[in-house]
Amino acid sequence: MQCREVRELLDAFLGDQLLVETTNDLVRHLEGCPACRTELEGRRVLRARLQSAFASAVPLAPTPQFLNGLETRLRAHQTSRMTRRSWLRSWGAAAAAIVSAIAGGLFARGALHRSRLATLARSAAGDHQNCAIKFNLSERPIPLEEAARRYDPAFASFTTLPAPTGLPNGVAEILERHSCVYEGRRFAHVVFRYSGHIVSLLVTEGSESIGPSPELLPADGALQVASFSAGRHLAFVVSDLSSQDTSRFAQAIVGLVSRRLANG
Amino acid sequence: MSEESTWKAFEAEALPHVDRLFRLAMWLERDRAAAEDLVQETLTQALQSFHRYTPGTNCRAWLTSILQHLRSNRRRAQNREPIETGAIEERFEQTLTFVPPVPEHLTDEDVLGALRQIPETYQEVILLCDVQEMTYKEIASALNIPLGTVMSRLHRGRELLRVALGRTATSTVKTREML
Repeated sequence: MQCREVRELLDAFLGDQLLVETTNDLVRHLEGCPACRTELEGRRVLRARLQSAFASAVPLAPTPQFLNGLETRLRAHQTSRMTRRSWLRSWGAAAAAIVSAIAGGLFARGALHRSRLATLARSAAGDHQNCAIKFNLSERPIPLEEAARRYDPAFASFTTLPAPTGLPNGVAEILERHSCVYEGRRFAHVVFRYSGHIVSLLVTEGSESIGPSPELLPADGALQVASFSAGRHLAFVVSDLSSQDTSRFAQAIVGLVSRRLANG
Repeated sequence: MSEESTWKAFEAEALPHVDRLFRLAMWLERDRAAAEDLVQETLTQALQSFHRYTPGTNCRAWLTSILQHLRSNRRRAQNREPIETGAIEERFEQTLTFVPPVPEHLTDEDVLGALRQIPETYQEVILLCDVQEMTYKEIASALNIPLGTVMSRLHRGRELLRVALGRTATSTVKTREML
């Protein structure tokens, strides 16, 4: 591959839009071409800056008033559509919409945050199940170093994350660490074996409302999920241990993770 | 699917994308009331046709696609067609001979300011690709343009963005020197 061709493909490479063969050719070229590596880095920085500028620009953000009313209006609209279908059934639905409008106005924003966190927790549990347990992801996991270069520099700090110590049921050992994608969400993923169970630490970008201390989240099925925030990231500890042991594991690792992400 | 289960699925899949969707609408419309209307209408339509959404696929791209179609219809109704890019592309083809490197020190304001300086059609594809993280195919479908046009607009748009950033960086340095 020549530099000219590589430069035409660099943005598609950053966006993960190239075929595997083309990606391999491009990576081979990059290994031997400092000029193209510099160009790639420039484009990566620009793309990341564009994302962060867009995500943090206050004038572009929705107002709390809009968010507060949104869920209520949507539910009311959904209910009013039903009204047209069945007057009798709609009477109850309309009453529910009124109740929802009153209650929703107060709680809509909180519900929105909770639902975002619940969605992320479900993704984390799905990733644990499909990546750590079944090895069944549609997209191949990539090394943390590569993910740090291409998506999130903070992922680099997990290449040296040690296993937590001081756990009540023995020693935790690290089995695997990489970056993977589940349902469109990219995670830094560290897999541990502890007390005969597989435990996943999954870290992703996010600012949903949860504190810096681990908190157990409602989970579907047999998996337990504990979550905490660290800088601009959210961490999820997922396992089929008991809720108490999952919580303890999260408590043991929170300091290690937070120190690494404090500035991220 | 019952009304309640539809809502629960919609709440889990679609509502987490409201913030990004709104920011895109706000950027494109440049008017808060218009952006709020557009997002509200997008989500209302998405909820109505949620049975067409395939769980596990890219919900943000699906919502963005609805938003773009609504916006395009509105513009057509108001006779506000996007600027014809053919002539612009040709003009830049003639004038754009050197693409400067990405400046080392970029602020958020520099980047957003430079993005505003390039034609809207290019802003749109860059935002859909780099910020909304949509694939070329998804962008082509959302904007109702051929895949090749998506790629050429992205290529040209990114070059224009770098030229604009170069100008911004130069003027920032000059301002600093003057101070």
